Amino acid sequence: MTVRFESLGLYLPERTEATADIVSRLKIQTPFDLSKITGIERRHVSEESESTLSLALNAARDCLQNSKYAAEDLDCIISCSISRRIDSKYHFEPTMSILIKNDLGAHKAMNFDISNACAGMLTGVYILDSLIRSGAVQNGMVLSGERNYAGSETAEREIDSIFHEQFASLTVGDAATAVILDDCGTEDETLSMVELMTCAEPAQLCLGMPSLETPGVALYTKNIKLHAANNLQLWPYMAQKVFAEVGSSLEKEHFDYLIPHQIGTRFSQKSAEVVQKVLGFDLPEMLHCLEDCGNTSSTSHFVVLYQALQQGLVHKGTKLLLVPAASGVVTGCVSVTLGDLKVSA
Amino acid sequence: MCVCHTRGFKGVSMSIVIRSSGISEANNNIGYIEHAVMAASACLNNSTTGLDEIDLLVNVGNYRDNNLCEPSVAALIQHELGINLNPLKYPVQSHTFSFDLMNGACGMLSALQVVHAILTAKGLTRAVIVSGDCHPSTKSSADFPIHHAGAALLLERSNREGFSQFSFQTTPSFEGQSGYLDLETHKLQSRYSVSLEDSTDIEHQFSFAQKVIQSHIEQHNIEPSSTKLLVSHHDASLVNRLGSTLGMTLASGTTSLVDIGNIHTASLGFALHKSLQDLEESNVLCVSIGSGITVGCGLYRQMVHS
Repeated sequence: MTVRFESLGLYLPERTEATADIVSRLKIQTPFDLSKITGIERRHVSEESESTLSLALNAARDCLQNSKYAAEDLDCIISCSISRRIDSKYHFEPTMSILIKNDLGAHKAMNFDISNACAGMLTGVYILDSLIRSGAVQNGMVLSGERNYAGSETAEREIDSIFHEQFASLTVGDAATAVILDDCGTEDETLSMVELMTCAEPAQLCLGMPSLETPGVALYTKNIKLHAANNLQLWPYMAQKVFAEVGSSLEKEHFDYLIPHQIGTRFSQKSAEVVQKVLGFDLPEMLHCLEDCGNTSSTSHFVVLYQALQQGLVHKGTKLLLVPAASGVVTGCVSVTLGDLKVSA
Repeated sequence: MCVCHTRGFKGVSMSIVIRSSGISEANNNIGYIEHAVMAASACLNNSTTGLDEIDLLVNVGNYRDNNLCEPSVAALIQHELGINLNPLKYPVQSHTFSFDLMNGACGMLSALQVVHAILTAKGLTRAVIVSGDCHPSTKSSADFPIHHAGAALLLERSNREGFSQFSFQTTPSFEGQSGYLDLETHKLQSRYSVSLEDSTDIEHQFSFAQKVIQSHIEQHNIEPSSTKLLVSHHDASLVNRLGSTLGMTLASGTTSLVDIGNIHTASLGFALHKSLQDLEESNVLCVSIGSGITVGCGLYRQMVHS
């Protein structure tokens, strides 16, 4: 049985916010240029009336429009949002997935939510791929709505030092993505590897929770420790291992592009340098959506993929390596060769 | 041409067997992460499995310390247990992957289905599932009806006994427990506050659960008279009515839950821990009933001795 990406969905809120404007509102002067370090010029920001749920539903409907499946055909719905926010309420229960399922009318679908920080969508893909290949289901949708710009607003109010732990929050933007997987893949249209790993030593270096200083949710990141070279070496170690286990290597796979988690251009560059040093191998060209979207948390790889399809950068037959970098920390390799995927203009 | 690098077993009916279990008894003076670590430690101490042999760690706890939303609570529990901290510094046999799965009171049963799929599809060997809840303040709160507790299961892939078939159904419109943090209400106390509401119609919950269980029994040719029923719910009236209506004997763990009270996501793990004798003696149909209304069923088949 071969699993594939059958269709994709994307929703980006219309409003945007420029990095320069955010930085200008900080209480302190920054000695560095945030846009230059991250490559982020602006990000999409939800309206007050938009919720995690409404964002996710927009992406789900776009995905169904690009799919051969109707909502009632879906066997499984997995929601992967970090921020399960409706109005000013962050929901632990019920699941986002049951609200999505009921709204779409996907009544036969099994459903649950996943929470795995910025590796959420790829964790959903890991699980759904296994559910399909074990025979439990034939298809399903993985989706996520992220309304995490609220964390950037908290950071804007609270940053009072250039060493403040909320600096990374200023890179975050809102987005929603969805992907349908099914068992109709072929040798030329396949999700050929989904391997993920959690190395828990740095688990406490990036924590998201309500702030005690101003009302809002905040993300506290010890950036220097988290992105230290010894942590960046985890990915090349894992990539070398998982491809060796199947008698291959990163080099032999001939990926056309690599889609990293969208942390920032300098982070991507530093990661590539570590890989070159450890493996003696130049990574494939990386695709980003940083300039216009920033870091859209669990949706980032799928925002990049959708936009690359819209721009004609990738197409039927393109072979991609999706690489997560999430707090936990989660790393891994997801290898996919695209079929003829339709996307909205 | 592409080469598919998927691992696993095809065409073989696999199941997952409970190799060991552990609990952390109800105590509202400590938080969930501490409960989960104690339950997982007890579970692993009851087995011969090393910390470096765990392929998957899944957390199904819903209400957590400090209303934390990132990283996964599973990663923090993994950190506390000392599992796959950094394989470059501390080499391991299995490179653990962890995540949180949330499906309210049905989370454990959903996680069992997911673990079954992953171990089967990827040919992996073992997983730990941890469960339980706490008030975000990690202290007792009069308006929070769930007892802080923890339960953990160690599962291994098997081709004989254990779980292999699951089914879930939900009602078409939402009904049940909602739990949320309202930032506008709680403002600077948001890290330590949560609100719970419940719109469950008890009679509707009973009739829907009965219908779903009956359908699972028929679909999988289960013989009610020789199968015990384990309902992971603390409402004595609900579980007794289900047992008598379906003509099934209740597994001993069900009675334990009625005595303990509401331990939410830890219920099924607790009940299975208290039903280990039943699992050796007969098939046990596990049923979870949660918000949605969601009803899940999974049959634990006893070993077939040849």
